[in-house]
Amino acid sequence: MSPFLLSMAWPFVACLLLAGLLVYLGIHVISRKVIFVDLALAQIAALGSVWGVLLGWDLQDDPWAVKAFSLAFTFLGAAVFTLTRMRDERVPHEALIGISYAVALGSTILASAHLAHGAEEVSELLAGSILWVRGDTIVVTGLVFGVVGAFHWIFRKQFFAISLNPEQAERSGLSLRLWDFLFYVSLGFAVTSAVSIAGVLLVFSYLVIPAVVAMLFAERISTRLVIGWITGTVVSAVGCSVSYFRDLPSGPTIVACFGVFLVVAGLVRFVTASPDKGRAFVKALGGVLGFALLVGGSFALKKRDHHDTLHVLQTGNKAEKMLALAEIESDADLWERTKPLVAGILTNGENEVRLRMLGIVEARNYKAALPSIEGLLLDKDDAIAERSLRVVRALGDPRSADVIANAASGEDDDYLRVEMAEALLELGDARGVPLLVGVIVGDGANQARREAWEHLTAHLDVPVKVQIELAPDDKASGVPELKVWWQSHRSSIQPESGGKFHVGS
Amino acid sequence: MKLTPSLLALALLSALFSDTVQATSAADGKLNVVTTLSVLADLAREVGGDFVTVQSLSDPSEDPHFVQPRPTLMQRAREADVFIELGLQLELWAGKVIDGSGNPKIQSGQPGRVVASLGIPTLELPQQLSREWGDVHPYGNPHIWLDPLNAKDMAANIAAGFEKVDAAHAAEYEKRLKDFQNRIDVALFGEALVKEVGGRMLTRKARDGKLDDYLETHKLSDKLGGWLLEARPLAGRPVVTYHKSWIYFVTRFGLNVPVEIEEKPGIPPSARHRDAVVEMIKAKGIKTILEEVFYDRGAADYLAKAAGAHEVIVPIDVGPSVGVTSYFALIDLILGKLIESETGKAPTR
Repeated sequence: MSPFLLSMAWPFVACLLLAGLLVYLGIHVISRKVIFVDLALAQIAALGSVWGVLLGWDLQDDPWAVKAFSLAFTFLGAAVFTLTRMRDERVPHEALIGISYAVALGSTILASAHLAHGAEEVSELLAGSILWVRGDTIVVTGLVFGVVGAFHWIFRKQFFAISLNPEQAERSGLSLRLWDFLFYVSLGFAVTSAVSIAGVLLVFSYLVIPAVVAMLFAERISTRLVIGWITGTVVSAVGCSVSYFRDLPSGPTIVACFGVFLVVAGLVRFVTASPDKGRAFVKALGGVLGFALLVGGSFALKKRDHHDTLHVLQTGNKAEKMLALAEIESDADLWERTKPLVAGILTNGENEVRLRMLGIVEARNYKAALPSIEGLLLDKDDAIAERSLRVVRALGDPRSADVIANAASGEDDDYLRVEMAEALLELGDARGVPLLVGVIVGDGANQARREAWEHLTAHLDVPVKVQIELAPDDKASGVPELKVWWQSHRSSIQPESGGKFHVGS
Repeated sequence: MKLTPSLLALALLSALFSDTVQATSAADGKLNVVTTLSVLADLAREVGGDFVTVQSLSDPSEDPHFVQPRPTLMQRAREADVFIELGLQLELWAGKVIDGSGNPKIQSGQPGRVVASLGIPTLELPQQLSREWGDVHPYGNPHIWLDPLNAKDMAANIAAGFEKVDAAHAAEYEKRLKDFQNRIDVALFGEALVKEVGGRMLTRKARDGKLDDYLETHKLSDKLGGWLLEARPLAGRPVVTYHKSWIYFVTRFGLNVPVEIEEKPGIPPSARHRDAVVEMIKAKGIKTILEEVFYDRGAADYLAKAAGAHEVIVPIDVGPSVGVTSYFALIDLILGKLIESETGKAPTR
């Protein structure tokens, strides 16, 4: 099978199921002028679920208990809608349905306000995603739809009588209240199980749009049904394909396709029903072109992306500054113009921005930045202190020695002191030696002391041998000897060439 | 004075309100601390000890991106001496709560307002200057607390805030901070290694991604302990996650996330993306789908069935409602479940 079929088969079957039952119910819903009843019923069902959860049932562990609550609420909603259908409509039924929706939604939010992850659960109840539908869910939904469908098929005369012509139905002896109630209960069943796989948006579209398209072209119920089913099937197929091949979320894509289909159907109807078909066609075409022009024209208003890198570097957020630095790094002209800003950024920038700037300064060998970099040697952020020391070393200016020596006396991290000492020794400055000795004889981490010893012996021949064992032995030998030796030789360390030193007089 | 109905109503009303007020105000001279996330509350307790009372505005079982503003949230913020937020535009609702509270002590720039993420390097910074794709988090991925090294820095920011507002106990806060940071180091690197090398150096090396090299060079590899030792079987393992919240965690513990279920944060995936995830799971032999407790499990269930992977559903925050008692317990829990999913057996602790 093709990957398209493999991946969209189940969603497509689900769409067909939805179309099968909802198109039929939609014809009833539109005849009764209760367009938003499905939204209201779905919301009331959601309120039922939340109520069940509030009473201690768990959505994951006891799904059937929660479902039972949601069904019971749906029955309650059906009863409300039945009782509020008045013979002489002082208040439109649609208004009451809208109110039920608003009150149910408000109550759901209220009820879930103190629920653990309540907000998420509410949106979950209403969202549904047709993409995650699998065979077992389809079978269950199909069964529910089958039962509702069969029920409506058996009592089709009664249901159509009360939907299309209630007065006449009542005169012929039908109980309006009973059949209304049965209608809303069955609609509630269908809608709640449809919403749980497809979400409110899609269910509403399947219920209303095919029925509206059918009403444009036909009077007879059977013809309307056929047109509605064709619409539902075609749009499902197109929507699923567009969603797959354009890589778009499925539900919203299908809804958008429904919208386009309805507009096209409306235009066709406008042209075919008009007495002067030629003029009507031109009008329709004009409308479409005008709309296209409007949409196309709005692209002229697209925000232009021209930025001044240096301005971004000074006023942007962290991410923008990082991007600006990336541009500066690879553009010599831009770098020339950035130079006056370097000191300010090194002092005041965000840590990542400063690190990046240090990298650029090093790569460009920009010695004029040394004073501001030296100020960072004791930065409270270790990463910055470490990086700036590396840059100072890389720039290799002998005037840096005093600054490094100064910083070393204030540094409390042994490893950084070792690195500072190494930098001093590389610059031929003997002040690195006491720093290293200090770390070796100090009480810091063994590893730092070992590293200090390695650095010391790389620059200077010491007649004693220090060894610091790994834990658990944790023994250090030679430290007292080093102390004694250091006491008598500390003032006679002399530089040689190449960063080497010797003890001399 | 006659007891008129209106007076009675007033008395009733004030009784109602005084109840809520007493529930939140600290009358014992302790610093009243309010945090957005409960992990921040946990860190604040670590640093503040007995000198603070701490309340979190959100519950760990909620999605921290979306918290419904309620009157009690503003009430709590109104009485706060210190307000701690993560920042990085994670809690977009926090601004409304602070504005609504009218509390001058916690307004932006005041010492009572602590941004816990301050100065901490972020990952996944936007890669384009234009905002065409409407990036949700222009300061980078905000889920920084899932890296224990960042927890140390967050605690430091919190301690700095406490020290400014309550200078009298500054030394205590500093001491408690150092103790917390040391416990994180020991939990992460193991006691032996921290003793041998020192937490600061290990932290620098780990942040640079050079810890393994460093330990190798200095023949210290066998000294590694703690979470990083536990996580060794996870090294290089790919996992699928629902939301982009795991980058800091997987970076620290050596995993990687080749694909998220959400194609873009907060937007449902398309069919092709869904299939790409299934293919990826099969092709790379991915064993684990990692998801937070507050997300819909539909997608994870589907993928687990379609591609044969385990769902690991974990909290990412600390609190009794998710059964996590401390920051340490949180990392223990996530790491333990991951190791169990990947290796088939839980780590022995």
